[in-house]
Amino acid sequence: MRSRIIWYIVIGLFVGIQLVPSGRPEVVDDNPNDLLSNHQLPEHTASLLRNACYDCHSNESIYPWYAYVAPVSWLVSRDVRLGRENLNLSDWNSFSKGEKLKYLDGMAVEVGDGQMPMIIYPLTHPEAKLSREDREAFVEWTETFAEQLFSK
Amino acid sequence: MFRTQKCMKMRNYLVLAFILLGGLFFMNFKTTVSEPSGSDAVAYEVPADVQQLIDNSCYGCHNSDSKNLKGKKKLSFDKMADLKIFKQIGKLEAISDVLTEGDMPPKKFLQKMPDAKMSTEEIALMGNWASDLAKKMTHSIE
Ligand code: HEC
Ligand code: HEC
Repeated sequence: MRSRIIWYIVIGLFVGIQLVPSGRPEVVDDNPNDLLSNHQLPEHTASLLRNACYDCHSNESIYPWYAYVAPVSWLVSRDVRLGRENLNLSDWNSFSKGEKLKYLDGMAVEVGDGQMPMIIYPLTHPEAKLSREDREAFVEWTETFAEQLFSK
Repeated sequence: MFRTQKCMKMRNYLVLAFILLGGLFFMNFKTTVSEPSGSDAVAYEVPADVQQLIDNSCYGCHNSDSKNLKGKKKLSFDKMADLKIFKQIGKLEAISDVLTEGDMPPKKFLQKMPDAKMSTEEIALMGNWASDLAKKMTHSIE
């Protein structure tokens, strides 16, 4: 009897918290300034960005089912919101050259140092697990791409 | 007949020599032409008043011997001059950003080290230095 009541409370709470809005950032499909749709990047770079960064750093986030279930949805929403605030690759072409260089340097440091993608992310997205070679090649790409911004 | 042929041969050699010499000059010329674009680039420089602010409020965390691993990976003031110009511009932009946002020096650090706190004028001085230099450097390589 007692344990039954506890179960009812737990289930009730679980259903209840589903009503709390998670503030999940919207998905926008049409992004005229997007990095990947405007630039022909080397294939491994493009797929690294798409697989390991775009869920949090673009308007084209693909939300897994658990992104709709509280309390996990709150955490996912927070990561995507902060991720887009810090770097939104869907706005790439609207950045000045200086800003682009700032972001390229930031990406090189974060990926080179193993800070990005966030450590928990590859647990549910195995394709976002990066090897040392992946990281080194990505850092090299940031430098080549920075130079290309200035070559006509 | 024999003499003119010999003359012609000599002339051919002379012409060939001129062409070769000309080619050498041209090649030299080309290498000297491609250099100035590098030397036109504005260099990374810190005026004394800004350097003093950096030493007082930033350098402790942002130097290559710092114990603050995250801080030094993002920015090491002692290594700035060695970086490629693209990196220098990117880091200067980030410096200007953190100062406008009031993100640096970190608030927790300032509670322990109130001497590192910068006045509004000092923040503006360093911020303007960073953003002006970033702009100048960008234009110089455009
Ligand atoms: C699961 C979400 C997630 C993924 C995936 C992710 N990031 Fe992030 N990223 C964040 C969040 C959240 C922040 C803000 C962190 C903070 O403010 O401390 C951030 C911050 C950043 C920053 C700015 C850091 C700074 O302090 O200036 C860069 C650059 C960055 N990420 C690059 C990347 C790159 C490149 C990838 C792909 C290899 C990636 N991120 C993958 C969530 C993510
Ligand atoms: C107490 C140590 C400390 C001091 C003092 C400090 N920083 Fe930082 N700084 C850090 C750390 C740690 C990070 C990395 C933060 C992160 O990744 O979230 C950082 C990051 C940065 C970044 C990169 C920000 C980004 O989003 O990429 C810049 C630029 C920066 N600091 C500039 C400064 C300047 C300018 C000063 C002096 C006015 C300063 N810092 C003082 C510790 C410090």
